[in-house]
Amino acid sequence: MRYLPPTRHVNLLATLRQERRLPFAGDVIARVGERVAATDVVAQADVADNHLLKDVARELGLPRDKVGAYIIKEEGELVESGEAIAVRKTFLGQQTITSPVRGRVAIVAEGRVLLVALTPLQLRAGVPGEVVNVIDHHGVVIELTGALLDGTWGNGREDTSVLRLLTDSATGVLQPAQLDLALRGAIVAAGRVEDASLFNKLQEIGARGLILASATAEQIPMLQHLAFPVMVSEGFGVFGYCEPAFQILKTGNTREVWLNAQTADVRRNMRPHLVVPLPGAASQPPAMPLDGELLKEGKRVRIVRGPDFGRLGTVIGLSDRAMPLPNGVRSHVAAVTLDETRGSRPTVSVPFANLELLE
Amino acid sequence: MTDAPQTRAETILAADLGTATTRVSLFDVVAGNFRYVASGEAPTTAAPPYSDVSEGLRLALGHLQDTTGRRMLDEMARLILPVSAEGAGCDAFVMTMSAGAPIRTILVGLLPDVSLKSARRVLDSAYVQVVDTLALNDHRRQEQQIDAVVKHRPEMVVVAGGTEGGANSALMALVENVQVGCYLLPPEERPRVLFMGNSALQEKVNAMLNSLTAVYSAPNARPTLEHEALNPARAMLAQVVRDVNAQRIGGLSLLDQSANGQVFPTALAEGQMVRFLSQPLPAPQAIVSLHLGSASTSVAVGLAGALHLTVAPDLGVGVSALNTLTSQPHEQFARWVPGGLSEAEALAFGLERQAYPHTIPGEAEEAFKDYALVRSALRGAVRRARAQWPPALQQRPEFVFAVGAGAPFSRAAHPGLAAMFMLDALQPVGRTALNLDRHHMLAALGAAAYVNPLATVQVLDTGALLPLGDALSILTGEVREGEVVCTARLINEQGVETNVDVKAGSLEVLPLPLNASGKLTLKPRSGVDAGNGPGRAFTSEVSGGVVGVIIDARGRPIALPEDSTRRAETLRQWVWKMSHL
Repeated sequence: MRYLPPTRHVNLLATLRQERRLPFAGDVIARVGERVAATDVVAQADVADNHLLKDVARELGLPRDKVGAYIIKEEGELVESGEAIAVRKTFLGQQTITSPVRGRVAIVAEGRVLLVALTPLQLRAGVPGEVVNVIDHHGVVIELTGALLDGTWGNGREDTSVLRLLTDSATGVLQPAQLDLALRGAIVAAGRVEDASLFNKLQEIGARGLILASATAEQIPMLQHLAFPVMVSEGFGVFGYCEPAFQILKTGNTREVWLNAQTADVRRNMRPHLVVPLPGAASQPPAMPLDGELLKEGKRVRIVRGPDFGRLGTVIGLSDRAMPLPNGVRSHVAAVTLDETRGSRPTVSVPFANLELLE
Repeated sequence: MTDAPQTRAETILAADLGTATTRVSLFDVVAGNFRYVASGEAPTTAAPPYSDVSEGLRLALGHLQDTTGRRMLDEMARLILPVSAEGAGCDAFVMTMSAGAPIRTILVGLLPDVSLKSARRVLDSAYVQVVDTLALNDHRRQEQQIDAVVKHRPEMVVVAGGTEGGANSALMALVENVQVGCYLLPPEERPRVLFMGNSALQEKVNAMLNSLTAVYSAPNARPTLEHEALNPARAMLAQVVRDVNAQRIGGLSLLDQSANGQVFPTALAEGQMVRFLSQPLPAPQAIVSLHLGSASTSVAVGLAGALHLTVAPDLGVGVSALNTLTSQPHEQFARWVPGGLSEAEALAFGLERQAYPHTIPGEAEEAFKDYALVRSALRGAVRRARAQWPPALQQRPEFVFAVGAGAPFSRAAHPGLAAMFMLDALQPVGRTALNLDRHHMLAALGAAAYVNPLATVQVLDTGALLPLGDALSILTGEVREGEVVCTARLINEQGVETNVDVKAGSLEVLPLPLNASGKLTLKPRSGVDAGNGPGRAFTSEVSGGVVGVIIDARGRPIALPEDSTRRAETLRQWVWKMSHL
């Protein structure tokens, strides 16, 4: 039976393509072939969803069909806060209607002016690399070499900064004594946090991101509200990083990294992720991470449900028919030899559905 | 897909694009009658790296080919349409879908209890999320309503309101705000507009919006204050949904062409079958179908040929698991797990299910959390649906025929569990024939009916659904748990007798296999209603199934013991009675 499991990228060195996209149409500044730095603006747009209606006819005390001549701005024109949009001179003096915001004239009709306040939105590259594609009016695709670590949960924010790994072990707990001003501006990584007050302390000292192997369910609402990006790498509970994930963090320690803690969306195959830009050999660029591969013998997998949750292994066999599980459910199963732990490498039987590929 | 014209549709392929799984079902003429032949399935490939649902369809067809030995794809991996001289391919292709995020919709109408209520009932038939409502009693300033259209960037705007011959200026003022909002959005981000209001306003609405975006019209969903006409609006809504999805889901427009536009929301196709099945039955006998998926749950009730359809696009057991859990008080979920579950544990479970929606429990105890999640999604959807049922059905949910569809039903460890999920969700009274839709037959047949109604009837007649057995629900009233409330005697066609003392709080299964019938006599004690009034004996012909005849004496509503140890025992006891697991 052909089976398409989900894929988790935990890749120490690959050619990566990162899509950077505005939430709505704007102007793409970067061009194909251009090399960009992480902080370069590649696209920009105006957030234009705050409208104000100025009833010029009413304010001037004129019939709607007589007001047109006094409106001095046209549709599409930019206006500054306090700038006149309608002027009427009479022998008694001058009446001026001004814009209360910096924005644009959206519509002029029937003696009314609809203004829209503009808030500039700049999209930065996030990663250094070469622009290989432009997405019309929306953004770019940037190619680079580096490490890629997919996570399980993110709080929807993103940032670029230096990574500081604050633990020697994959299960290391972040300690209060480790938080000092030296971490200002850094993206901090640790195994887990036991003292939830440390989250706010990180915010207070000006950290710019947080990566954890695991977080408890009670911690998730707190992490959701932090002002910097937060990614939980392995899952929910109390456990550490898998070995390749920890290797990526060690490689990225003290380097500038891109933490895209986007909200996971299974429907769109979106996961939060960490990118560690690394130099690659120009003559032989590394391969791109694989996607959409079928489950088969020899594949590296991670178990995502059951008593062996989080463990890594290699597929050594696939059942050709559905087998009964201890609870009576029937499922195709894979024989997975687990990575060595304390000198042993047991083989376990895992339903196809409870595996994700590691690429 | 090959571009050959369709001939008489004798071989029909029905596909269903779910959030997680794409399924195909083949129907063909065998010995002069239409029969279900086989199914294939594969993961849905709407998301990257494929971003093309036709890939998942090809994989599912490959699975079907492997099962049947019948070639469905040509050398270019295109569906063979129509059937070739060698007997490969199919004559007609129809599709249902529930894949994709719910369509972000702004609802525009006049009064909450009139036009908006009817519009919501129409929207309930599709996978739609209402992100905002513009109404007569909206206190926002005009520019704030315009902001709402621009900020939400809806994919669809539904305009209802104005009974026929009614006043119209209020509605047109709201439509004007939609017009301005559409004007301000870039053309490619403008919502499609569905108008289902006062027909006298149709031309004005078209004139205001036609130059900006696609406008669809349906007959007024609320032509008078007393009368609703929902079906034409539902049909047009299905078309809008199809067009929105074709734009946002890769590969769908090509499949839509191959299906000649016969692409329907899964819930609506199932609902049409439920409505059809209910036509010969007099009220108050109702038929119900429950479809539970990763992202959404639908409840379709047919009552004397009228359809009451509710889609809960945010209640499911995978992608929507976290929302399902957080949409109810914690205790309502936790008490269905033996040993209980803290709020943190429940939240962790919901987060894991949401992150890995396709996973399955392997251990017995682990499965109880999944069962509780199934119940939560189904109960939540039934609660929403119930509000739309006729009062008599709300008071007394008497379903003569019930169907469970979706992976949690069809892949349950034992069909007895599927039966239990249905009973837990519906908590029906009286006698209910429980059935399992293992192969998504209702949706497939609902779509196939458009190309060949005869196929639908004949396939139904030949066992498209798997009978689980008749369930008799006993209204125990105020009795102590464990007290005998009724005796049950079942005599099968061979004269073999089974006798059981039915205790309050129990589930009993009496053996009666598939295609067998028997005579069941229930003798309740005083105050207990076994179907013929309190204290009165009840004898009836009953039909068997893969589970048997089920007697549900757990009370209405189902009462769980307050003591946690007894509650855990009770839950395990019920699972054991229904499945021996």
